[in-house]
Amino acid sequence: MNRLVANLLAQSILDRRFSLSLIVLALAAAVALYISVQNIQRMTRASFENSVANVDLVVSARSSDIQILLNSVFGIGQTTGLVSAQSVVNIADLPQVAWHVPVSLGDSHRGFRVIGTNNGMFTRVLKDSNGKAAFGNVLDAIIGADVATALGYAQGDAIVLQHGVGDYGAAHDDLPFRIHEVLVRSGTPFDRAVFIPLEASEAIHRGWRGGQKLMSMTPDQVEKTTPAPRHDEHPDEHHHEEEDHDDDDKHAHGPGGIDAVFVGLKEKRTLVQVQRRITDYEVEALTAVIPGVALASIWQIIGFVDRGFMAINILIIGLVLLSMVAMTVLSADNRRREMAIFRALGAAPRVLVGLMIGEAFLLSLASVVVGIAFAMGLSTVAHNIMSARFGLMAETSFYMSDAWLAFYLIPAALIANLVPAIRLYRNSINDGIMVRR
Amino acid sequence: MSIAIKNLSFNYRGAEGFAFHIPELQLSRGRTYLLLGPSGSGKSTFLNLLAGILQPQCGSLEIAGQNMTDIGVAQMDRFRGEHIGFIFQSLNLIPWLSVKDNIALGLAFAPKRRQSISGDVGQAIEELAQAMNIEATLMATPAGQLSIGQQQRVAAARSLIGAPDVILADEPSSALDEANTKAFFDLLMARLDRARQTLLVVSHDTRLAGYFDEVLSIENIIRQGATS
Repeated sequence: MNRLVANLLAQSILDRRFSLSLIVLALAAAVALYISVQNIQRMTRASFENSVANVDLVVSARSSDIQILLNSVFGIGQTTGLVSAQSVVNIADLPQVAWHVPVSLGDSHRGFRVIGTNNGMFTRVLKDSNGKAAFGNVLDAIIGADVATALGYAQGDAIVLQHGVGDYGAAHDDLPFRIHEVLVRSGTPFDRAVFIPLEASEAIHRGWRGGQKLMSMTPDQVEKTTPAPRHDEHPDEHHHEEEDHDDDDKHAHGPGGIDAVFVGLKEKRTLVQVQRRITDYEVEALTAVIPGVALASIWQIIGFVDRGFMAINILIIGLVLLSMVAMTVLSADNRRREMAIFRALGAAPRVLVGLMIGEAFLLSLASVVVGIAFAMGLSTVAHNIMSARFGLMAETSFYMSDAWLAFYLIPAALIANLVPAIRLYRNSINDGIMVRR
Repeated sequence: MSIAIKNLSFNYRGAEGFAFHIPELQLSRGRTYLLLGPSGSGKSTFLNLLAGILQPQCGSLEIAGQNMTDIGVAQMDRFRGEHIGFIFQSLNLIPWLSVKDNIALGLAFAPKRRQSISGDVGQAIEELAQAMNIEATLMATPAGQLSIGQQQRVAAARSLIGAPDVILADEPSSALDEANTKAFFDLLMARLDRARQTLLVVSHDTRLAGYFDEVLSIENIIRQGATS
């Protein structure tokens, strides 16, 4: 293609820039939709997986894997039972266990769930984002980034917890907590949680029965009668896994038991062995959940959503190709006179088809590039919404691998445009040299 | 001989009732011809046949030594670009291209015709434009912004650039008044290489006869008949 023909292509596009821009925008919207659907789907999965990336097992009272995972990690559903303090110690005593983090649920603060735990929650579970966070005193609270943003809290503010997870529970107003630290965003559901020391979680429930407060305590009484939160789980103070284990043995887990235990293993290859050991535990009925397996079950259950996404994607791709063919046919009709003139001046079939295909290439390329830009914008918005509403955040807001898929649309578009281009060439013969349109 | 036809028969496929046959026609190199005939007499069909856009059912059609019935579609396109210049009735300039690019379009699909220009192509275009009375200030103007008379001269320049063997023109002066028609044909004839270029103009306007070496009548050269 010589310079003049390339010039013809460029000037022809320039001359029709308004109508072609609309076509590119329409195609780009379809491309963006295609990439965004893929992206949001992948981002959702990555966010869920990211939430339990550092946990090897979640142990809870006997229940279904999915229920345990949803309740203990994602705060969805109800706890089915408690794990006794002795069982927690026994689990911690297993030689394969490197660390364990107890989780006590059941209270809330203005719609956000309260998690009674120890510093291992930060040094182990959230180590990638908040590894240095630690409780100072018994009545210290550490709040997730979303809680601070939503309620406008800052370090030093006092908060009162509510008994139960709804708005109807009685308040632990006799024992206000002081916000000791605000966590940085971790992209997990823990961004929407209020953490208190496990010891405090047990202490504030002293004198409670059946959800009713029978006896009040003062903060001084609590601080005097409750051991201070231990700092021995802080990574700076640990030298090797064995020490973690020894320290954990000494932790108090209270008489009432806890809702779940997050467990980390010394070696991943012992995962199934430990899981079986806990499942066969004779003292009480426990379930040890491998988070990845439970998540896979969740994805399997909601597989119809995946299939729905897939169907939407296929429809979108079809729509994109159909739009491109429609665009070429429309463009061909508009350019029939132009093509007939070229033909009369000696343009070979390949030149005419080349002009049409060249235009389809440039338009589809522009559509894909603009579509990717749209998708990046949409993904950022989706990323922010997922993070703000659900506390889910993938490490990346945009997966370029999905975007590359869109480039396959270009050859598909060229193939789809061949037929209208050849049709145009044939019409140019029929028009002959007497074109008067 | 520039154009030589013998026993050429053509009919539109599926269009019953129109067909024609040319027993023999010879147009000489370096001469100018006016082909007269009323509307619907087959003038445009004849031009399409000469251009190789329509294929005759039988017979021989030779242009500049090439038998057009012997070559395929792609070769035909190339041959047309290299050897035939066109002036359309509706001018058919590309409105969004500049005057200069419209003239250069005559060379776009004809590399040999381009190579026949000694020296700079851009300069050759400008010289031709000047000879055709197209002001230099208009060279960068989109053709769609020109007057009909100016467009006519650009269309003629496009057909003349690179000096093709045959120039075919279909009612080129139908949109011009008498003064502009005279100016147009004066310019066109002045630029023709009378040693080797053949001009065939198709028209129904008998007043044009004075500009040409020979005047032909379509009725005399074709024998119309029903589809065989």
